Amino acid sequence: MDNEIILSARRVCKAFGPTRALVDVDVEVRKGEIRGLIGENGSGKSTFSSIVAGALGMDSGELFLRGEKYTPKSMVDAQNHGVAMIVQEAATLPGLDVASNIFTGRLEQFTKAGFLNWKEIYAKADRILADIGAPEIKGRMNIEQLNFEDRKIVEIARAMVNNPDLLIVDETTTALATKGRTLIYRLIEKMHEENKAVLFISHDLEELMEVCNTITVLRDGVIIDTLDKSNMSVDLMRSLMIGRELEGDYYRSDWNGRMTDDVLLEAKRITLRPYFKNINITLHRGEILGLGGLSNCGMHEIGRVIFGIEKTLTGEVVLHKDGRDVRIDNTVTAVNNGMAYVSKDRDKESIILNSTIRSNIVSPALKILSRTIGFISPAWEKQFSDRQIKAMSIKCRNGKQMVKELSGGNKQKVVFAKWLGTDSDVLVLDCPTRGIDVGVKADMYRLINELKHQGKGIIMISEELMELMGMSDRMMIFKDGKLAKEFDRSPDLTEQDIIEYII
Amino acid sequence: MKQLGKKLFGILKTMLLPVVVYLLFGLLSGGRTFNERAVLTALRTTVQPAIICYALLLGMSTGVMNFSAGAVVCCGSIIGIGLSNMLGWGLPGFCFLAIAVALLCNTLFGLLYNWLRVPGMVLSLGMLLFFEALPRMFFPGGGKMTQADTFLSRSPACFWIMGITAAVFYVLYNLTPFGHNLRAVGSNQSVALAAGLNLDKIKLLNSVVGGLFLGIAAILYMSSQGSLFCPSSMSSMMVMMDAFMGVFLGMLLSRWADPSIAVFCGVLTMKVMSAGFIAVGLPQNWKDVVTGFFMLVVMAVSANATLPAKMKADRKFAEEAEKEYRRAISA
Repeated sequence: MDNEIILSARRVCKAFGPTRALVDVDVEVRKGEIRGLIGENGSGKSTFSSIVAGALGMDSGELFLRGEKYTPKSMVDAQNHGVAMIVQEAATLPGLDVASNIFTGRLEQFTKAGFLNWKEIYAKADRILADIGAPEIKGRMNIEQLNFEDRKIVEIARAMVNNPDLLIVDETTTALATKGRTLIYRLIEKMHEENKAVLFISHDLEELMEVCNTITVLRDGVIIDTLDKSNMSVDLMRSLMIGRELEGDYYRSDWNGRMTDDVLLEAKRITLRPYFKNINITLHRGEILGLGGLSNCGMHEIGRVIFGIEKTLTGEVVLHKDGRDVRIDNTVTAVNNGMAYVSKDRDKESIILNSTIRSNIVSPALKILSRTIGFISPAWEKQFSDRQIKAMSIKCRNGKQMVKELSGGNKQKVVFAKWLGTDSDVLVLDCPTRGIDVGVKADMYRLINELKHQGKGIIMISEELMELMGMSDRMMIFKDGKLAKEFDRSPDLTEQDIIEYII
Repeated sequence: MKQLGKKLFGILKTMLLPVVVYLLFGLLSGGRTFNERAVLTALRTTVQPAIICYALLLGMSTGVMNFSAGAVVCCGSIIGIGLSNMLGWGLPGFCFLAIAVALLCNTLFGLLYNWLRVPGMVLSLGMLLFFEALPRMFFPGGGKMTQADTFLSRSPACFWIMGITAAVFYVLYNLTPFGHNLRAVGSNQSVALAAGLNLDKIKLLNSVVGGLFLGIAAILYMSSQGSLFCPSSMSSMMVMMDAFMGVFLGMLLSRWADPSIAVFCGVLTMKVMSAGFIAVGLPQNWKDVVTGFFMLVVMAVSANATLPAKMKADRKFAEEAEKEYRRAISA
């Protein structure tokens, strides 16, 4: 076998029940290679990386690591062989300190006569964190002192403990802001310089082109093509991923602006500690209002105040509904008066993973379903959820399937389906396309545009400038909790025009 | 040095609760509890439930509330003393057998927990009935200890036992991979699994170690009672009731001090209260009401400890926002 090859996968197959997740996948990753892995949600890229990282077993096929047969029994076993993975979901242990999080499963190496040597553990944790470029995080810190991004950095440190030869980065960067992303890019560069390899999974095609020197495209568990730097292009990757050209424009094609001047919702002088003070927002009927800025600029929290999850310390949020002014200061009032909210943290706040698709879809609509006699008929529930499943083209066996079994894109469709069923007038969408593939993204954009044309008011909060520019009638850009600039929809607007107000 | 100071301050804060409760009841009873004997009694009666608490705390670290702990203590006491008397092994034999029986009982619990995959609470209720029936099968008349052997539950022996047991618990919980793995499993099972921890093995080991503490509690229980009837109809729950109340209090106090100390202070607080109720002449019914209410208040205060500070900070932030708004308008 070629000495330059770090990982070789031959005819790897994996099925989940009747679903074939991987079909005869052959991959070779060489020393110094940064291999991107792309595909729609459910294409098999995470399944493949999980098999390589020891989190999943394969049904058939072979793996070779540095020329030797490789059959990892667990993620720790894989790490001991020099393969580490950083995952998308939060994977830290609350209640424990940073060092314990880094060395969980490997603490035996720090024992003397059966007792842990905490001094050595903390020192080594500090060293690893400094090595990966996060010296401000210390081993003694409680993990709960850290924000989401710093916790992710702790996970990266955990992955780097054994100085791996192959690092798998599974859709991690989508959840991170600049600091975390920069750290990962630096690590990837270091791996490249040290002649090691990286398997990089992301839905951000521009990012992939920037970071990777080769990209493998997966569709329905089958490898479609492997591109190198010379023939990479976003359009080509998109069409290879979904197997067709994306019809029409990816975002909206019109430059018309909002449809009416009817005010639907007003946030007057809202304040939330420590994020922002005295923010005013007006949303019109038939308008997509984009809120943009850096992740910590306060825009996500503005969405939470508008929907009543957080209470404003000054001023109020008023919904104008059927000639009445409804003060929104809690989620019950918001939902009862036709408001919907899609959280950035989908798995924690927008869906119940351990519940069925049907239960999730009907949850905000129980009032509608029980209106006639006060009881909910299972037949109505089925009818209602089946209608939404069909309308949103959710890929599932039936409404009884558990949400946790769905891919990211289909989970997001469930979130949209549950709110669309209630015929909400105001939709607060916080990062509605986060972590979903281009195919589903295009469907979501089409849907958001349709909702606007139905006269709904949409507040779209996004960290992706292109998405904001492509979809919004009006954009409010925030910086450090203050409104930095407001832009109207225009074909002349460029990313550069906006960025100067963000950073 | 700073860390040590912080730890000592935390321990002092933890110890403040039983001290405050003691002073309160002392004052309410007109100073009737302000004597060495009352203090010693409260401390002495704290030992056995505190040791049961350690076993409960281990279970709760992995999300298992073990209602059979009291039955295991009874089982260890009665079968241990019965066998020891039968074999003529005396006090050392009793200590060994009580621990052995409790270890076996809890090992069985751990194995069944792993095999049956039923919720811990459901399993513990089933096992409670089994462990209550077990001594009745072999020693239907219960167990009896000679008066000379009952010194273990008295001062100073009981305090030595408490000290050694607390030290063992501290070491196991804080200084060994076992304690760390236990907390990792309790914190997030799926992450712990992905990190390569053998969940079944850790849970079983946890149950076995819990058995050790219940065995020690069984020795003290037999020593304090002298003779025991076999429990029935879930009466063994009473054996663990003080521990049960104390463990919740201890868990709240453990934010300031190590659980080995926090749990002791939790049980001690409950014991001081019980003694205080008697001193002030409160009827039994009212004693239960006040105890329950006290628990709720402590837990509510603890759960909302950060609320006043948050409200104050919110108010200040809102005032700043108001000022900024007025400034902007006048400008």
